[in-house]
Amino acid sequence: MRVQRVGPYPIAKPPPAQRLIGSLLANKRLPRHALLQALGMLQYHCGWISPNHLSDLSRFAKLSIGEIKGIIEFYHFLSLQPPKPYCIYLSTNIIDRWQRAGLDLSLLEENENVDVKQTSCVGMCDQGGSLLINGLPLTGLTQERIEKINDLILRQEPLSQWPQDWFTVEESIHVKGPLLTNSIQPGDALNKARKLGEAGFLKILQASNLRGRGGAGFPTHLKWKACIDARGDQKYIVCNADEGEPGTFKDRLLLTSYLAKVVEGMCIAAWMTGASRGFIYLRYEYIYLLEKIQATLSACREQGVLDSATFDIEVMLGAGAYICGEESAMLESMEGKRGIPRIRPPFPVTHGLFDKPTIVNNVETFCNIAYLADDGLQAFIDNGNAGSRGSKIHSVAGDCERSGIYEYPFGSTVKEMLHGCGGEQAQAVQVGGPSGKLVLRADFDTPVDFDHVSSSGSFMVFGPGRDLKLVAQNFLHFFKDESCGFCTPCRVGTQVLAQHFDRVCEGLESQHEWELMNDIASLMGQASHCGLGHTAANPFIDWRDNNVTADSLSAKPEFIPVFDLAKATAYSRSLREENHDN
Amino acid sequence: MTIDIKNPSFLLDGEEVPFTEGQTVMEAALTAGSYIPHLCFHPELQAHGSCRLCIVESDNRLHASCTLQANSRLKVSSQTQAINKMRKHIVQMLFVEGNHICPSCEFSGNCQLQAMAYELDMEEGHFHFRYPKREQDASHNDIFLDRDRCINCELCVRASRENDAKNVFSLGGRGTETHLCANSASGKLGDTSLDVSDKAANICPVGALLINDQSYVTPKEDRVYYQTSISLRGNRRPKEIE
Repeated sequence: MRVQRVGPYPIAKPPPAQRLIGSLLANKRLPRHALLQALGMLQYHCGWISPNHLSDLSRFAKLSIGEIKGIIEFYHFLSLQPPKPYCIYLSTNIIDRWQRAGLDLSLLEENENVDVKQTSCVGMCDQGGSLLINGLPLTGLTQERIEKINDLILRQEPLSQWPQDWFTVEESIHVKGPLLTNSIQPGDALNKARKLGEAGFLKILQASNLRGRGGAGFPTHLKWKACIDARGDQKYIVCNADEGEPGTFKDRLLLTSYLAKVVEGMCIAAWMTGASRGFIYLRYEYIYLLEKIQATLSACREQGVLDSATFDIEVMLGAGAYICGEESAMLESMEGKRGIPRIRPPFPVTHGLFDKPTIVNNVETFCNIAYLADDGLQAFIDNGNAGSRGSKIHSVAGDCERSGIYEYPFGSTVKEMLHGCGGEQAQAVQVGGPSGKLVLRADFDTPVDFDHVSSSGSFMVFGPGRDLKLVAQNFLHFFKDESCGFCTPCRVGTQVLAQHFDRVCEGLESQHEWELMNDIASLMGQASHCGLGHTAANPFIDWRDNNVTADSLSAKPEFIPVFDLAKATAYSRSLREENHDN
Repeated sequence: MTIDIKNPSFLLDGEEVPFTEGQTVMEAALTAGSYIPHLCFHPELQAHGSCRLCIVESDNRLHASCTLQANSRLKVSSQTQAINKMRKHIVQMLFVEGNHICPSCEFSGNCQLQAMAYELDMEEGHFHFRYPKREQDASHNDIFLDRDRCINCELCVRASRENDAKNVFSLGGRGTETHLCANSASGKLGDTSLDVSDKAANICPVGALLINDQSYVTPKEDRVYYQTSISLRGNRRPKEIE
């Protein structure tokens, strides 16, 4: 797919569906797994899924319109409403809000040619104020630029004519470790792994104790061994590039500048398992990288690293859903369905994509595989500590002098990392995103590794002036917006918890309120269906544990009613007063 | 406890529950006559694991018993104070999430959600009521869809696909906006092939899918849960009464 800038959207004369999604059709049939891909393309090119396109899709995919609508409604970026010529998305992540703090966006909000919507973190926390316009990131916002944007939108200037440099996402790497330093000659890592043989490389993998870099930290050799042992005529390798944890952007860098390494890691997985097809599930927010990724894949084919006879990789696009970073929800999404996490077991290693044995690993994990194969075990384990071997790439953003990418050995302390980025003044750091952990100044000696504070790569720095209560509120609202809605504790719990915490922020909390929130947090943490629900109350728990004591709690009123009599009767009272006036 | 390979069993609240290979804890428990609270489980349909009422504890973790495979090493707790408190909160969450109108609901006394609330000694909503605005659908001649009372258990969705071979329903939306959809071009139930005799039309545990002209025909004392609790009676629909 060519990622040309689209805008203004062709509202009056939308191109026929067949022209936009022709490459996905086989004999005028749209395979089920291509449905989400088709929806993504229509959305990108037209700004919505129009009724005409909907009925075309229904015919091509042999699915009812009602069912397709149910899928569209699940994904944040897919819309059934007629668009305006332009559509802007602003990230709701606290860091992005702070980056936009001095900017007045009301011009755009009042501009009739553009919809201004909100979305969860778009992976641009190191880019200054930013937004997505018609699907593409526009970085380094200033008030002057906003005014220019407003003029261009008023004039309906084609997006392709807008200044190129506005759309640049510059990668700033501040500390390179072994992973970002090592350069692999195409095919080298795979060849070196092959020389060791399948059993030999698996042993190396085990000895390296490489653990998944997506956040959960599952030992990679166990995952791979299970998939190697699983029976299946077809196996798949999936790279999880749905980097959705707010504050994270390290996969963006790896996909931009280190993709050949990721590919090599995937090739090793394919050789070990006998898989002949691989996929990169790319979040919709990174659609601007699609063309570059495909060019790299083509180069890999020319170099013989990839070929359709043994192993080839294609890109699948997400459509805006944090939950699709959960591996089984991602597989559902890749099959063209709503991204609801599956019941596990069975795990993807035996029943994955299209029910076939599948390895799903994070972008950074595949990079590590290639590095391990290329530089060898000793080099790999020279970094990190016994429980957490190797290095970790961090996306550092917030109140520090140098936000960007940092690669540190596992076990580096929060303090060391703050020193590296010029964030020594911080009062706290959120490690691992909203689902991770808030580390306060007193605990800055804590090492960041799997045994202490585990991280998926997000490192958000909060300076001394920031109100951490508002940070917790922001994160709780994030989970409220991103719960998939499948299980009761998470679907309702995230809503109710955010609502109650809003009252805490208004200073209206009572002992009763705290008891309710404790009940919800404990229920969500234990009884939810998947990891999102299990961790969604963490921002509340951190806030509570850091701020609430038995004494401070007993000083609060026992109960403050939600029902506000004065507010509820304001209208009728105003009528009475009017009558009196008369 | 010794493991009997021919007649395997596991422990549920200290009692031995026999099971056959492939059964879940829920299936084995119900077969043995031990009730584990549930709403989205149905013995004839694929397990779903979404309502989470059937949570049980084993190895210091909670599992949905409808998706937990039985094995002879399991020691499962279900009727503990802590778990029943969580179950009560789940039922309260379902109540505050929708618009449940028990006093005037046609399904009152037959409703499994209401029965579950009594079973778990629920006395109030506990959380803030959300009062959502949800679309009603009276387009079908024989069946009324009241989304206010829907709890997203997908029993009708599964029944239509697995039992009726029709695929009349699906879920749309995300998070708290999740809602039941009719799979027709108009999105209306009346434009689907749903028949009043379909399993999908007769499986709703609450009053979200109501068969027209049958409301209030049964006096309240004859309704399923008027005299007997759901733990004794099981999850039953009115027409399944002996």
